[in-house]
Amino acid sequence: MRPVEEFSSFARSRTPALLRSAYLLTGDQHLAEDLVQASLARTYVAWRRLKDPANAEAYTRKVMYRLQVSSWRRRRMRESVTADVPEPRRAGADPTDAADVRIVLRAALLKLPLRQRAVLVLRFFEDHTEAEAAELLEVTVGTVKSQTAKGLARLRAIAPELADPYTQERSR
Amino acid sequence: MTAPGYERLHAAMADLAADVAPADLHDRALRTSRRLRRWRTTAAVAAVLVVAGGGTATAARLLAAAPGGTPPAGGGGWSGCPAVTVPTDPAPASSYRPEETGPAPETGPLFYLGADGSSTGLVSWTPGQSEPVLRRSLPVEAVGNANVSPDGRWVSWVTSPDGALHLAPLDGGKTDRVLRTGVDGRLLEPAWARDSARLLVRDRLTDRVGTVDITSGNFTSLPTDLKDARHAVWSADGTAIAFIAPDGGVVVSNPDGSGQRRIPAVADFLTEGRKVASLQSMSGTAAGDAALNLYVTAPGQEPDGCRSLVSNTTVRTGDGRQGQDEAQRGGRYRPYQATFRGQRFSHVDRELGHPRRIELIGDNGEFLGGTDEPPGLGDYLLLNN
Repeated sequence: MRPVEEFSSFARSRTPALLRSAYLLTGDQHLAEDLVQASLARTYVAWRRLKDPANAEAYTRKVMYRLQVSSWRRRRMRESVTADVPEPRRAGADPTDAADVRIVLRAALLKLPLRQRAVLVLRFFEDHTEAEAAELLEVTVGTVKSQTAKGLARLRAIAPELADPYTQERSR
Repeated sequence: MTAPGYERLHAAMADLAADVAPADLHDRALRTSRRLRRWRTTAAVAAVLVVAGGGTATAARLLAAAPGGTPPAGGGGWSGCPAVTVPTDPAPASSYRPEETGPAPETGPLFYLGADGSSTGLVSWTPGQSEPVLRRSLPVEAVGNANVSPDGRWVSWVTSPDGALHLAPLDGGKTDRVLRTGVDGRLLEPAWARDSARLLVRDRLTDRVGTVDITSGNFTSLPTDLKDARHAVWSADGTAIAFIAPDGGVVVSNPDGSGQRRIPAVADFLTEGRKVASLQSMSGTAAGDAALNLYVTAPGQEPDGCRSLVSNTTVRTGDGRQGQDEAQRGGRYRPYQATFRGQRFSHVDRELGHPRRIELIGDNGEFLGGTDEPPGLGDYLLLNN
């Protein structure tokens, strides 16, 4: 199979999974598509250097997260920590309402700085270890730990009914 | 395996992630990759420029001398692209003389874009001069959507994730400003109007196509929307807009979006199994017709970023017949870029052989001058401005 055909097969089969992670990172359909598109484009450029096409997804995800981190680095001077957070879920609401949970979680993630959001997605959606997350984001393990703790703390403030599982940060 | 105690967070994230709608990003990724080749020369130049504090002369010397700037053997392919056989049906006419020599074409400055994985370089080169000049270093993502105004005074680009439309002067000023956010830099790259005062953009929030005034940043929707338009270009005289429709056809409209009509010949491309990858340039429409230079893939090929650049053609927008220059050269598909100027069909013609060659062609297809490009520009994209 020619490289372009290999890439086409990879891109078409893995785009849905990449989009899901990108959606959590960006909170927006168009931005998620942008992010995956840019990551796939870089993967295609590097395709011949990827010794094994099986490495392509790992490479693409690494690019995707690094693009997010780059975005954070570019924007950091304009970002400011806000004192107000999204409205906590109202008392008495049914915490098992999946649609409600989605809305709250999305709003909560969007309130997080990009790097905290990326760390939480890596750790708790893609189930990476702290060391793996650090390597993907090109930061230290200590940074991953601190960003995770801060991100979880903010999630707890926003979505108390989702707080219980977060109360103890555990390392694998 | 999810960390113990966080299964619920994992499940909530998975549930939220499932909200994203499916999208086929394959073609878009390949198109982006075409402009994301590894033009290391630019990165080296940009780095030196930063260190030297704006030494464009130094940068230009490096650009010309840097290794890796030579076009790949075989001609036409971007570095890293597989070897390409350029379709030659029908056989080139005997009148086609690519070795034709003459005075250096008086094209004025030509603008080129190149990038590596970390930065994008905008360079200019005027035929007759020995070396190109680095005009500005841009973010790497600008390689997919940067454009220069027709008067050569401004460069625009879009950055993600907020779709910020940037504007920067090319007269040496270092600062850029964000005209507005929420601009599509992916499918409809901001395209300069011929007055160099407006950019055609898609506003993400309203999903409407309109123009942004570069002085005020105000967005004005076109009275008739160019729904789902992709990769639009203005005609050289500013009296028409061409764009790719979602089904792959090419549509020409008035500047206000009215009078949309399809170019017949493009349907032939589609039935041949070819695809229109992007539009490069459109001539003036003073004669009630225009010539449109577009990239067409080989039959059965996706726009993969390599072949799409070397299998292009020029059609007339009225009836879709080949442009006069195209007919003279006898090849329906050949490796070149045409950048139209003025009211009619005069244009800068970039032969993508080895070395690259710039020719100036008159309204009637007459040869007005030609010269080879500096080798360092081999892998750069010629912008239409």
